[in-house]
Amino acid sequence: MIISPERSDFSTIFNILGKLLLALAGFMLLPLAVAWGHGEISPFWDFLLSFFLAASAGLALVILFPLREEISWIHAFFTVSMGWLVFSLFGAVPLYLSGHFLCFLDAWFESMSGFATTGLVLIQDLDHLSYAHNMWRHLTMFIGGQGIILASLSILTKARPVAVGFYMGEGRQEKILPNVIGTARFIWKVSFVYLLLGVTVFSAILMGKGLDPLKAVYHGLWLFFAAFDTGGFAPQAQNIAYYHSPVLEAATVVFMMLGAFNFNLHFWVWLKNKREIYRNFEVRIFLLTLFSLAALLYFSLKGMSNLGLFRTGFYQLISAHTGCGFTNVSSAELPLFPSLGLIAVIFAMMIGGGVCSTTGAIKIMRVGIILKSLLSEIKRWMMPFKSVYRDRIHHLQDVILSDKRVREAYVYFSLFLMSYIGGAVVGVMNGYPLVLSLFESVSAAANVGLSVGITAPSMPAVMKVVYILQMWTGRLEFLSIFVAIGFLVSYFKR
Amino acid sequence: MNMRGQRGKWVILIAAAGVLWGVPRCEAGRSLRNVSAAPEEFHRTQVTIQGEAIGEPLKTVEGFWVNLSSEGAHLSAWVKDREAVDKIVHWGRYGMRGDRVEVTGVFYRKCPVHHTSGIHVQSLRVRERGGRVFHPVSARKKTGTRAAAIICLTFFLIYLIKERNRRRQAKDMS
Repeated sequence: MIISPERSDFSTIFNILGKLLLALAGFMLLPLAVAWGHGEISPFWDFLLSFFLAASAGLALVILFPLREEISWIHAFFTVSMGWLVFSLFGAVPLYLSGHFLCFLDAWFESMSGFATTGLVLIQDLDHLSYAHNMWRHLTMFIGGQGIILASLSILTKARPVAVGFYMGEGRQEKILPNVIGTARFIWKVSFVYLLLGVTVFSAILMGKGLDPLKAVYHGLWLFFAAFDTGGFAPQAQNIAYYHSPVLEAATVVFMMLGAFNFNLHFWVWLKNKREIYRNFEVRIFLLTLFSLAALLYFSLKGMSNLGLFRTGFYQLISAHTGCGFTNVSSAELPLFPSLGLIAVIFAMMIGGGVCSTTGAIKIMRVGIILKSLLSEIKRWMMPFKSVYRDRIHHLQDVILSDKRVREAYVYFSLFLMSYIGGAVVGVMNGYPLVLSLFESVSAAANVGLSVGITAPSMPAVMKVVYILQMWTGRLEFLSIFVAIGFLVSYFKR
Repeated sequence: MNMRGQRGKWVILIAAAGVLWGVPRCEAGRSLRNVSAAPEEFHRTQVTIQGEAIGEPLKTVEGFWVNLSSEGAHLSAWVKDREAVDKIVHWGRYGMRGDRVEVTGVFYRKCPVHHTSGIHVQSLRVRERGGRVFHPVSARKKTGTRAAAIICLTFFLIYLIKERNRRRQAKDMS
């Protein structure tokens, strides 16, 4: 039997959405303060207007739709899927008001790209963007990377009984602590420790490059948001290439990898057993895929010096694998990569990082499980007919690879593959070459942000909408959106 | 005489063709957008481009990187001399239009020294001074903000009243 929502359920959903909008308005106070502090008059008005709009909409929803019942799983799935749409739409308002976008659709694209930690950009003249707007662009990645709902969960006490519904709905499959609120708080604590470390390191490097101290701190903060939350935005149009610093590139690699690893692994390494890092299944699969793809890239870029290989090849590869999207080559240069190199980067984007991390894509755990299940199948065929064979993986503890887990991995793998191919087909239909269309589609659906130049304000509106949908569904891993649609269908079918 | 005249015509014709062939190529080499869009074509060739100086000069061991922007395209120029960089007074950022500079140098898609793309500058000239850019706030934006503020405060008051009533009712019930 399928659970069907009642009319009163929608009242609860709108009430939670209203509260989330109030939280969004609260987040806007930070860029508002930055605009005020720097005397950026026009951006100050942009954020003031956006703040009042988000707060008004939030209050209207809370007043019109009072919370009459306990929050349940139905509400959780609806809220998560709608919450991301609402956040991206209202988050686009200050961006649009900045005057750096051709139309509201472009601003919405940028906002969704930020919240979904993708990093594809449609902004124009980024080099002349205010501190306040840049703060907002990067803050969207931090909010999105940590989980919008998760961010609000830490303060929403009434949602505690179904907190796990919100948590799972945002594409996270593992709890770190028995209590989800505790898990959310642990993730925030870890993030703030890394934030302090990251901002210090990045700022020091940037000051060495000649940026004035305040600007260096701002850029350090934004680059940290982009690296650790695997977002890929940068405050300058040339992305990481602007800084011309191999040292900075190496430092961003470290934080991209920290962001791409499972938060559970951070927890174990920090508080339980440091040796877990050597035994962990995800880490091993990550190293396996990374070195295999690096070998492909090495053969395609043969003849370059070691530093050239790192800066041109490995940097794009690690950025793709961690789902960050930082790049030190221009979008005109990326398509000039040899085909084998492009394929390596596309595969890296498709795989992504760890489950329960800030990355999107299929995830290394699922790829590992699929590889393991293939090997198991071969072994089974080689064994006596009646023998029973159970495979294990080590992820924090020894886990038997159950059929349910394997099936889940295949389901997600298929869903992502359909999304990657679907986006590529739309690209081809709009006249772009196949490989480049596939590259851009995978980049959007896997929330990476590397671009071969297709993503531009001049691209057809239909492709902007498709990429927005890909970023949204990819970030939430389809599940909560499909469940919400299923509930809606069952409601109208009654 | 006739033969000599014919030969002369051919020489002029070939020279004119050469010039006509060279002009677009030379023009292309003068546009930052063209060079950044086709890095392979201009690899290891001398180019002269113009663009707005962006951000700040970025130090390296033996020189400075100057990032240039024009028509939405970007290129970096590596300058050895501090004096040349000092000619640039305004650097593009929010509220500031950077100086428009012309650089001549060899463009590398992958430079053997820095392993990134950029121009190794031989000469740098400031073509046009930048300056402050004002961003006025439109009257519509101000009116919209005031209206949104009034709506927001009204909703907030309604919310407070409703909350007070709800608490009072809950207290009466208990």
